[in-house]
Amino acid sequence: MIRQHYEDDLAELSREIMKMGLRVEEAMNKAVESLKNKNVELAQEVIDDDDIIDQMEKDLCDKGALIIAREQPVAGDLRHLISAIKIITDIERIGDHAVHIAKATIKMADEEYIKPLVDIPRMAEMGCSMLSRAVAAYVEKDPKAAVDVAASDEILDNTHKQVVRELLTYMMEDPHKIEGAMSLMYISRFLERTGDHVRNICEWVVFADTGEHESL
Amino acid sequence: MDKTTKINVKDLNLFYGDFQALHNVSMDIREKEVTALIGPSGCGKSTFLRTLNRMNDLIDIVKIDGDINYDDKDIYSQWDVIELRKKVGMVFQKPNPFPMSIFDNIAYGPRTHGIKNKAILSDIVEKSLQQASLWEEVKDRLHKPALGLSGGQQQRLCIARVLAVEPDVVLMDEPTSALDPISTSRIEDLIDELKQNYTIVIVTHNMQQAGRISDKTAFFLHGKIEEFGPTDEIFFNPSSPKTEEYISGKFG
Repeated sequence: MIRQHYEDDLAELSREIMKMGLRVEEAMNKAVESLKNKNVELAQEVIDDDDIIDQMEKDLCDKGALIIAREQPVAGDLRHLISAIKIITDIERIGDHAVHIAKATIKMADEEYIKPLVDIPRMAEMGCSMLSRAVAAYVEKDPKAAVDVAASDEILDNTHKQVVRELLTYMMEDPHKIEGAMSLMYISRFLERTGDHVRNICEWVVFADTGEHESL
Repeated sequence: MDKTTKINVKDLNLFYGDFQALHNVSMDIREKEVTALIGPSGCGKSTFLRTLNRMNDLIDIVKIDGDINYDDKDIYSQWDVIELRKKVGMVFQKPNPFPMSIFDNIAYGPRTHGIKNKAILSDIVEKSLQQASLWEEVKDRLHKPALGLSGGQQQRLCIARVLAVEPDVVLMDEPTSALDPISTSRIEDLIDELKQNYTIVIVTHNMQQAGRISDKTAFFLHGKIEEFGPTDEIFFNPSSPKTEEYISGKFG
């Protein structure tokens, strides 16, 4: 087998990206869990563990750069590596959104939420599922799956708009609820941004396959 | 045929006896561009290169059909072979200076073409060595043996020797494969400069070199052109899976 070492390096990089994706998914799930249950310790854990995710991003970026330097890949192999490096950044950003949610949890820990959390946990679940499917599409080099995942971002966008509309009505009804509504609005926004990052990941999966930058 | 086409090859078939080395090769080589020919050993790329200035005429068993036009004239019926080889020069894999002085190496071609005037010859030698980025290194020892130069200098000398007869096209058959990385990079820089005035066709086994220096790349496989196009496309998004496998080092 020609260039077995190189193939092994690429496979290893894919596995590491998969691991990073899982860790970010876990962070997001914990962040929303901490929000639902006002669990400050869990929220703090998400914040503390973000360093590990940041380090993973740096390590994987270095690993990708090293493969480029040592193996000088071209064509499809090069596109996959460029995509990997871009995807890692988007995954890390999703991790940052989990941290933002965790920080909001801590900030709101002593307050009564202005409404029961229904859509926000649903959005988090959707975002995490999209992330895991997008990373799988990268690892499996499956652009069709990536296109499908990107399409589902519309649901997340629409849910966010609906949440904003609903929270606006709370704010209009009672100015005392403005602060609480704003906090939830930010959280919804973080989750909506998660979907945007997943969509970027999907676009890089398509780029790796076709060399084209498509807006999905 | 495009007006900037320097050499046009159409349906070229080449046989070594019963063995067909090139199959229906067609290619437009554009003026003042670097065209790289890549492909695994035995794919026909060097055979193709040698056909462009009729070097294959020297091999008895070679039979050729198809059209090769240089400056719109058929190289077999409308060009005198000596004149053709003057216009379409060649640099080989290993530097092959003649066992004479640096000056005489460069002056050899012009002398063969009838130039005897010393002042004119000196001008040609200086100009050619400058174009080949060798002048500064050898100007004080022009009458010393060329074989005393380093490998990289010898190869630049060979390029200068080709340039001395004022060619139009320079064919290069793996010109850096016998050179160290620094000499290779000097030759690559030189190719980049030369393309302002010359059309260059280069055979290379070094994928990165083709990627670095050429405008167009042709990938030869089993005597056929598998893919030919802008180098950027060939190296970033080739259309043939075979090209992709080859340039990615998966076979060859």
